Amino acid sequence: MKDTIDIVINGQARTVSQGVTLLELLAGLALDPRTGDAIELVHFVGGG
Amino acid sequence: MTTAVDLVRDAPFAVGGRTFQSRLMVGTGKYEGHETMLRAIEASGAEIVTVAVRRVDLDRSKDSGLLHHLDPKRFFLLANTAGCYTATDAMRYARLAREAGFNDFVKLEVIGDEETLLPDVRGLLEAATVLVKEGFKVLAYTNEDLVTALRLEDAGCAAVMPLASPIGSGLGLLNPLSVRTIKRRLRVPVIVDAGVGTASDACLTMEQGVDGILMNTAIAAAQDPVAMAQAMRLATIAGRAAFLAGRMPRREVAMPSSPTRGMLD
Repeated sequence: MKDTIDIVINGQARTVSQGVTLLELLAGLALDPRTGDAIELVHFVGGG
Repeated sequence: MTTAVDLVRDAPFAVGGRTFQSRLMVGTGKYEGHETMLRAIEASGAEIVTVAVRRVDLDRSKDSGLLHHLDPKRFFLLANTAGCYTATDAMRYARLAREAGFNDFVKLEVIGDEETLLPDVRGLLEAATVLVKEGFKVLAYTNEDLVTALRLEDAGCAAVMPLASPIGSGLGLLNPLSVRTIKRRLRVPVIVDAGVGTASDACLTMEQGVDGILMNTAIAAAQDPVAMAQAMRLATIAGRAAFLAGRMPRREVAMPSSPTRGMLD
């Protein structure tokens, strides 16, 4: 099994380690969650 | 099988650099279940299907997401900014949709009034201007006002979408002259969005010469959504065909169809 996964963050391809936590991911992007950033998970739902 | 419908000579429907065969676009809201929705979309023949962007319900069931049911390779998913009341909110939703989605098209809605869901044209123009600069293909939901439509075109919108009547009202095309005028004056595609109630509304709308039509509630809230979707498909084709054929002039007095000569003494 690969020890990395390819993910897309804000439209950009990134390779991160399999066991990365969200906090580590944010730190790697120089985003400090301690400043109170909010994370929104969105998806598509039915709409007109 | 060749049918009369196949004989309609028409160019493909082009918007934002993409081309489509169907001039009917449908929404995915208000269906009782995903299976009915899918069968209705199939029956409509639509290629462009609108979706809304919302927060993931963290307690959801695994297959509750729309994309679990709707194949994004098969349909061109057009995200909307429905429910947004400010330009700032609409721009935020558009950006989230682009990140989460599959294309840079957005059906831009900035609503100005809760009761009528009529657009806030100032906010709409503001958001459209910014989003176009960010590379979005903006399809702007607007009212049937020509000057606003012209401003939206100037702002670089890929299409302008005047309403037939208020969203979800089913009142049909209330202002054919205004819609016709917008179509005559704009170079970008004009797609009538919202207000259609039944097939004759879709036909009448397409007879105005507009490039396409978008509807949701008229199909989803019909007693038999799948049958209504098929009716809408046929009505859209019929209306387009009638427009291309060119209707006869209106006359205020009768003119007999049968010869007046050769009558028996």
